[in-house]
Amino acid sequence: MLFFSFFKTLVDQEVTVELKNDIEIRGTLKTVDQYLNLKLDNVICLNEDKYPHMQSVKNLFIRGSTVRYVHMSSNTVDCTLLQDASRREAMAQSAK
Amino acid sequence: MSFFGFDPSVPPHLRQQNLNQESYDFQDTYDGLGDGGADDALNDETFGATEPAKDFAFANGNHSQPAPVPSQTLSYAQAATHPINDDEFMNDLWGAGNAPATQPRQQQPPMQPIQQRGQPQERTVLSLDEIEAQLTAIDHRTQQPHQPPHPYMMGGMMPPGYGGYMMPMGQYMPPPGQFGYPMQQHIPAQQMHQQMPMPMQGHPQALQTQQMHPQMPPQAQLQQAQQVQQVPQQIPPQLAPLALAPATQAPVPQPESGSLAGVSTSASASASGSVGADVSTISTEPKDLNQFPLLGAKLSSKAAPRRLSFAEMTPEQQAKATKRHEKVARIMNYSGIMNPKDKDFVTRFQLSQIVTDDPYNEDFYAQVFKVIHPKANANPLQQQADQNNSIAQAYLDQSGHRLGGRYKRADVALQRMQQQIQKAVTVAKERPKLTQYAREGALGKISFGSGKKPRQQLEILSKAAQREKSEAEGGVKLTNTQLRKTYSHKDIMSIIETVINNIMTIESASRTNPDVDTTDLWESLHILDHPSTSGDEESTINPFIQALSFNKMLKILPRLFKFLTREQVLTITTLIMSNLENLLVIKHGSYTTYPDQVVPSKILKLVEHYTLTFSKVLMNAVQEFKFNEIIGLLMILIEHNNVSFVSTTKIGLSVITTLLSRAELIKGEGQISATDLSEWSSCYDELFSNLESRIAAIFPPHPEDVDDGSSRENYVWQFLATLSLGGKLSHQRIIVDEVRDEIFGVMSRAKAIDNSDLANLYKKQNLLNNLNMYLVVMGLVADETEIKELQ
Repeated sequence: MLFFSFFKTLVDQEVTVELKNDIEIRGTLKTVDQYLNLKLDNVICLNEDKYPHMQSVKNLFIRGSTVRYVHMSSNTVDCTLLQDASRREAMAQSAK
Repeated sequence: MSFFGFDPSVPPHLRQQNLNQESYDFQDTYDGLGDGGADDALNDETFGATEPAKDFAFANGNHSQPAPVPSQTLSYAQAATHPINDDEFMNDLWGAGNAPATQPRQQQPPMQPIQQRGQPQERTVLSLDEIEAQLTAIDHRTQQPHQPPHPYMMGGMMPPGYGGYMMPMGQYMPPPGQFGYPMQQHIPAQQMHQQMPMPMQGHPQALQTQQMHPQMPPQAQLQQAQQVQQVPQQIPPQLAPLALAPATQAPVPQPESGSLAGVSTSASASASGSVGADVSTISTEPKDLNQFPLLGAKLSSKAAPRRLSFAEMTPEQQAKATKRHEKVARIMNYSGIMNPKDKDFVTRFQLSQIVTDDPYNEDFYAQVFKVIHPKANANPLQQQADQNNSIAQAYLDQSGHRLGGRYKRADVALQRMQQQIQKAVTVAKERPKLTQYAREGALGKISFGSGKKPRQQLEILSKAAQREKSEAEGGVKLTNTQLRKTYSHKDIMSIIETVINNIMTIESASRTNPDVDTTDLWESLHILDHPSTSGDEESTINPFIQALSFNKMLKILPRLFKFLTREQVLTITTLIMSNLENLLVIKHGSYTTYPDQVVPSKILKLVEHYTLTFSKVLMNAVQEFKFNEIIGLLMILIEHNNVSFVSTTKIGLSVITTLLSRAELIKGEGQISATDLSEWSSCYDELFSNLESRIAAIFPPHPEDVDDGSSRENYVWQFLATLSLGGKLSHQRIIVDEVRDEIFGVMSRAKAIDNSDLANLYKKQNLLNNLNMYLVVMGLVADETEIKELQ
């Protein structure tokens, strides 16, 4: 649940999603689910010259398994809290 | 004997029960769907009271669903452009309460329950004649579409079960091509009927065998019902009497109408069911465009102004509109497949996977993040945007808690969502794991991960790792028996991790109960494990002191001290005082140990961290200490450390300053016994004699490193001020003598900053202010040129 929890806090923030097929998309994260499927709004493709078919796409739903990276602004992340949360997750895992 | 699969061995009322039982099952899944059974009476009103004709050509009935009836009143384009209020949309999406959502359905009870209930009753009163008559009708309607292969397959021969009855079929059956168009084929159909009765009448026995045949009945009736339902739609009313006519030729007297009534009732009921469903689908379609809640209202708000009617358009526009129609039709192909109940069901199911009743543990990051960084949505535009995303937000926010509380003004959709969540939580709690899998399977492929663990995670803890772990524990025990324990880097790291874990456990426990057991935490600190003093071999130093060399330990110090008692804090401080020189920041933090007199940047960074964490924690802790405890700490410090060395480091100097200033404050309060005072003065003398003649050394060789004037604080002058404050006049004189060069150095540096250099003017002021902090103690004040007595 850690990453789901993490991405929840990025809702309505601008993120850049790099897909496994090398398409890079920047847009506002609208929602996320436990599979880390993403829904983006106001989308622009960062390598549009390579993928011109993306020009007309304004919003999209990304299956979580196709995502390679999600880039986000560092000031949207609370690192200390994230450290704690990761520890908590690890503790929960080891307790099982 | 069995009529249409009716089993006469079971008494009708029992049968009834059984069937009802089934329909209850159905209702359990789709509560409310079958409720409308009582309103069958309205069907006549809706579909006309005329009896359905008996003898239509039913070839078209091959489709069990009527072809979608395009809406006559509202074109798709119009529907799509029809502006829809968000609220309406939401209501439609989630249903504003259950009632409106189910209302349309009440008039259109679903096919199956009706047939199941209706037919057995009707059947029980059939006489042989009636059955015969019914069959007369049936054979037109059912046989051909139901068993299409027969006519072609068999020609003259017949399957054993059907006796002679089937025989004529092959003869009068028109080719399917013709048959497919009931309207045009009306006359042939009629002819067909006129031919029909003859063989029929000739084979009553055959009929009987047919009736007994168990394969045929239930489906046939169902089929028949479905075909009948097509009829009123496809054949215009004026044709109906015509079509009806041949049927009357059948040698069946009055009672037939009674029996047929049963059939027709069920037929029209089912017809109403499906036709009604179609109508409702159409009417909801435009709204359903936006079905997915997260896509939200944006689409609908984009709706264009109302368009011209099709006829008014130019050809160009017409083409455009047609294109649009097609597109919309394509999009809407599957819209309305799910009714609000279905959607609720899916939502609930999805939610049940992500809700948790322990959000602070399982959803820790998001929950705490929300508290720490509350959303600043001051501007209304942002709020508007938020509102659009509110469903998604609620979906994500409320992983199982704060039901309702957060969204007081929540609109209907949100309230519904919250109800869903409430249900989901209970469902998730109540259901055993197994059924959850089953439900998951029902919605698609069976997944072996749960919602919280979508995929099987790697099990990193292998046997080897476990063995290593137990060995490590054994190793600690072994070294325990030795006189001096040694700690590797790994040991220290694992100690830190344990401490952090304990802190987090305590923190989450303290959210519910302020009195938490902190023994585990205390023990994990290893404070009292074994004593060590400055200068010991690095690996044998008390693990807590070693841990203080690491950033992450420093970071949690403030959180750690919150849970410690005053005695525990005092113990820790004592340990630190006796081990000051073992701290990395002091051991390596003095410029004197380096040939070029420059402290490496790595240490400087650590020093920076210390000032932000350790020094602050210590300052807070010292506030709680009593006067004699401060004296004790200072004595330990002097005893175990080389004070003049410690004083050449920033952290060392600030530790001493902290203790001294606290002592001065307590002294200032003036409630100190004479013995304490004398102890204090001897302690101070001890400290001073350790520092004497080396005071100038506390200034690093490059004064710019310490204070280039940009900061308002200078730990060296602070120390000197505190030291002077506690000392007598003789002490002060010695200090001034020793640091005279530094005082003038600062003055000349201040002077060097040109008054016209506005950007750096503040530095001049800071330099002088810091210097004066010290000088003021002795009643002096300095500007860039001279030192005067304070007036």
